[in-house]
Amino acid sequence: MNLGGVIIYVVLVLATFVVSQEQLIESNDDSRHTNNWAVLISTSRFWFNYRHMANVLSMYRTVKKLGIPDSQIILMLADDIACNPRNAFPGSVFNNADRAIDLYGDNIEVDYRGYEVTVENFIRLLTDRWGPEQPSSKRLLTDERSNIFIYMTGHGGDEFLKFQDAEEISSYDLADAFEQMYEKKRYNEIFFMIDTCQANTMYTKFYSPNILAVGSSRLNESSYSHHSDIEIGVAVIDRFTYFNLDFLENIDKNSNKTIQDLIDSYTFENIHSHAGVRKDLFKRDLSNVLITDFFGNVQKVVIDEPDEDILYIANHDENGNYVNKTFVTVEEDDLKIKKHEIDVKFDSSDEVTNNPIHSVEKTGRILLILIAVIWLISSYKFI
Amino acid sequence: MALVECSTYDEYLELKPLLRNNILSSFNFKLTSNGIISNRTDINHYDIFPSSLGPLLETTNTQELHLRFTQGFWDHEIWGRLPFDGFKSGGTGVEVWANMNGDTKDEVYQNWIILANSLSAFFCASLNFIDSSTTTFPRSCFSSNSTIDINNNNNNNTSYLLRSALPREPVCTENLTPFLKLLPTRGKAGISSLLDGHKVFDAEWNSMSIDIIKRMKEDQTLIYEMDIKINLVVNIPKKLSKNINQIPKPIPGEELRCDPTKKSDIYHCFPLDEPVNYEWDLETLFGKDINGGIYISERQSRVCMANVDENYWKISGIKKKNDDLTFLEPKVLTDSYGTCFELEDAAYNYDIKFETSDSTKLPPMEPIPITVSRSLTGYSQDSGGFRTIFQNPSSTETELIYFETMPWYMRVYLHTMELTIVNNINKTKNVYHIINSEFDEKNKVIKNVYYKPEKDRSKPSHLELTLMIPADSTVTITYQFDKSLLLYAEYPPDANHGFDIDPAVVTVLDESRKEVYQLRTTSLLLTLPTPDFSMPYNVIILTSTIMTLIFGALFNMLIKRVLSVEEYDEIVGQSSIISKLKTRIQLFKKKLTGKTD
Repeated sequence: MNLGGVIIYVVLVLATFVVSQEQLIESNDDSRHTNNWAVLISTSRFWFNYRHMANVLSMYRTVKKLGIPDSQIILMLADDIACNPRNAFPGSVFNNADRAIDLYGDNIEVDYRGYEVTVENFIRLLTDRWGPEQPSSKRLLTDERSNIFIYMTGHGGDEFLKFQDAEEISSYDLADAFEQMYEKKRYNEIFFMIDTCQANTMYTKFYSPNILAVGSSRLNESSYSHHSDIEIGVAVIDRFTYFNLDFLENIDKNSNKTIQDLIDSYTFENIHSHAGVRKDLFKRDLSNVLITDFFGNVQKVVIDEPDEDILYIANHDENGNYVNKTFVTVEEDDLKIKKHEIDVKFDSSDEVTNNPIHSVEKTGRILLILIAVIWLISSYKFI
Repeated sequence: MALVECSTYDEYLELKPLLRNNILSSFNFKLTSNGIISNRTDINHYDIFPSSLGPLLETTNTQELHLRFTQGFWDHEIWGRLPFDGFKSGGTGVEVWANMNGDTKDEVYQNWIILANSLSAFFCASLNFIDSSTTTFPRSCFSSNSTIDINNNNNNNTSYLLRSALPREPVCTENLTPFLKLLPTRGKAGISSLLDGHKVFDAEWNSMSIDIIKRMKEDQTLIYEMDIKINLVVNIPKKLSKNINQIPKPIPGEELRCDPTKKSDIYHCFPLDEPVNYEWDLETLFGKDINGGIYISERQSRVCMANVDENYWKISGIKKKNDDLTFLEPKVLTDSYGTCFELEDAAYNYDIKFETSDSTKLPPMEPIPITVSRSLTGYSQDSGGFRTIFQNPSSTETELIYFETMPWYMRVYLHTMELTIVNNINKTKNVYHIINSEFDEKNKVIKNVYYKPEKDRSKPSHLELTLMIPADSTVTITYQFDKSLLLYAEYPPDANHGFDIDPAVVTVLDESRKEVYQLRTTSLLLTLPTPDFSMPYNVIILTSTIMTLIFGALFNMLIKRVLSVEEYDEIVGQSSIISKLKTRIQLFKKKLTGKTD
């Protein structure tokens, strides 16, 4: 019997156990996000698509209510409904026939409107590929710690969503855009919600990690509107969005309700279509994912631990001579002291969420060394 | 600090009743910045002046910026002259022009694009659609107000005036919000607390404007002056009925006002004109009252009402806190018209009450110098024409500059220009055609023509005419154009709606060629030949089908041989191992059974 082989086997089994346990801890951990963004888009033009604008504006109101600031919400409206000549209530959009809540309010910022809402602009927004003249408030300035809520509504079909009745985005376009975002580290997690006919087909092609998707109806199934307002003259909201809002209306910033609770609230009796969920790309257990991870703006602090002093590299050439490349003129010594102070301050703080990746890496390294040592010993014996 | 004292803020609201129970409300906000250092790397201090706009103007080297957001139709015939002689109101949609410095035209144009994009984000409007195909460099219609002598200030820098208009842009609450955010009061106090999107955009006509001018003061410091104006016309009876029910409902039979001189019974009613006695206040117009005065400015914010006949009009200012009401003392100020009420206290709410026994008793309307109307002629898919009618109601001749830009897909034929002059008194009519050699000598109307033709997809056509409209006469200018076919992707999503054409700008000059009045025509809706957008798909599908059929047949013919069944069996019988095996087995079976055929 090869003793060395047995030892290696035992160690490997142990190692996988330890690593999987580490991963388990990581996946059960809170979301690693430090900022929240929302991209809300209504892709339909024309007055009779009032409900799509109302859908999006309802979501806008909800995320704003839960604390995402206007600067982190990208609102795209394909048509002007509020000041449309056909609107008997100028400057107002309602999502219910009781007209209790004016969604347009008096403090709204629409980032893209009218003809600006195109597939090209949407993909550019997600992947952040713009010309130098693009102003920052019209960009999605997310990073690897951003949780993004993406809500789309409009008229769609099997694996496509129409934009402005003129062009369409396919599920492949969307999946590739998300992959690019992942490669460019533009998100931590994405919650994708779509309310359109055959909506569930839109997320079937996603292949990037950490995306959770819900849709209003499955293949060959229509999504329905909820009810009409006789005086506005058109349907004011879609069923799927209506029941989402019904659930979200009772959520506040400190709520412990999870995404699982939201998904459990979808019933065929309410929505009149089969709402779908895709969670295979999403690592965390949905019953641990708070609603506010996507709809709220809960700030967490994570300490960045760069291996090298970036400011030093930026301000010095290869020989270590000081070169003023930037406008920042801070004495190097001051900087070191400041950096040290910050380190000390945060080390003693409870708010620091320790990066689990580091501990996993450490265990892995130790195990690798251990295996290598055992391998050497066993092979020595064998000889 | 001396610098801080430089910045000033002033606000006032002017109200002016118009005929047919309308009222014009003009909100005026004036801001000046601290002294600025015009150097890109230096950081300036902004307090009252919005710090978001200052650096943008500095980096793009903008000396003057003018923005207009307008919706609705100003009825010259009933409402008279535009507020501020038309210099503060734009045409339908969004209009922007700027005076920018730069070494070259290209550099200025690049800055212009950056400016437009930044403004689009700032004002939530699609100003990023401004490109070379909508930008013109006007020559004389938009005069510069900046007092900086550019040559002294910056060596070999030239100043350019750029202008663009987007007639299709809707104007809504998201555009008003940034206006209020520019103010130091943020729309929470002072007269700006009245401004609410629901009421502003429910008006018959509304216009929001911003003019920012970089000015040099006496002490050689540079400052920004910003003038924000929001004008709206509200119809009182309409507003009163909307306040009860937003949806217009038919008046019940018993409330109908019928003409007593005519037969009226349960089936017949000859309606009377609108009543003339009304009672309303600011809360009726704006849904709320003024939330106190402001402390930021040196002068108190104030509400002024145009002079009206006191026998028929009663205007009173009210100051209130909880149920405590006191009447305000009306004041006559030197720099405002009519009677004013000053809002002294930030802790009180203010309201103005209007009572009229006859709303038609108004001071005589100031005469309008000219009326202009423009329309499209022709009905074909490939060509059309413009007809612009200038009507001079006064008994003196009027000089004006007519500025017009047309998108590149309208190919204008200037040689078709025709001029018709009709004297309204003795009804004489003269027609001139531009290609006639004596055109220049005979007509005394067109003084000067500046025309820059369009360039496909990159430049609009730009026409500036200096006209002298004779007294009491009507001048009609017509010319023809061809409509271009656009590329498939160039059509907007709702191409069948038509394409909006910028309003033309008319600037009236006085004897000393000073600009005295400005007005804009309505925007026009041009229908272009629009393809059936499903056609490409039909063509693709049909072509693909035919291709498949042809290819399939050809492919079959090339690789397959046609055989009869016997031939097939023969070939199969010869070649196949299985068939050989089969025959063997059959032979073997026969042997076993001993049967023979």
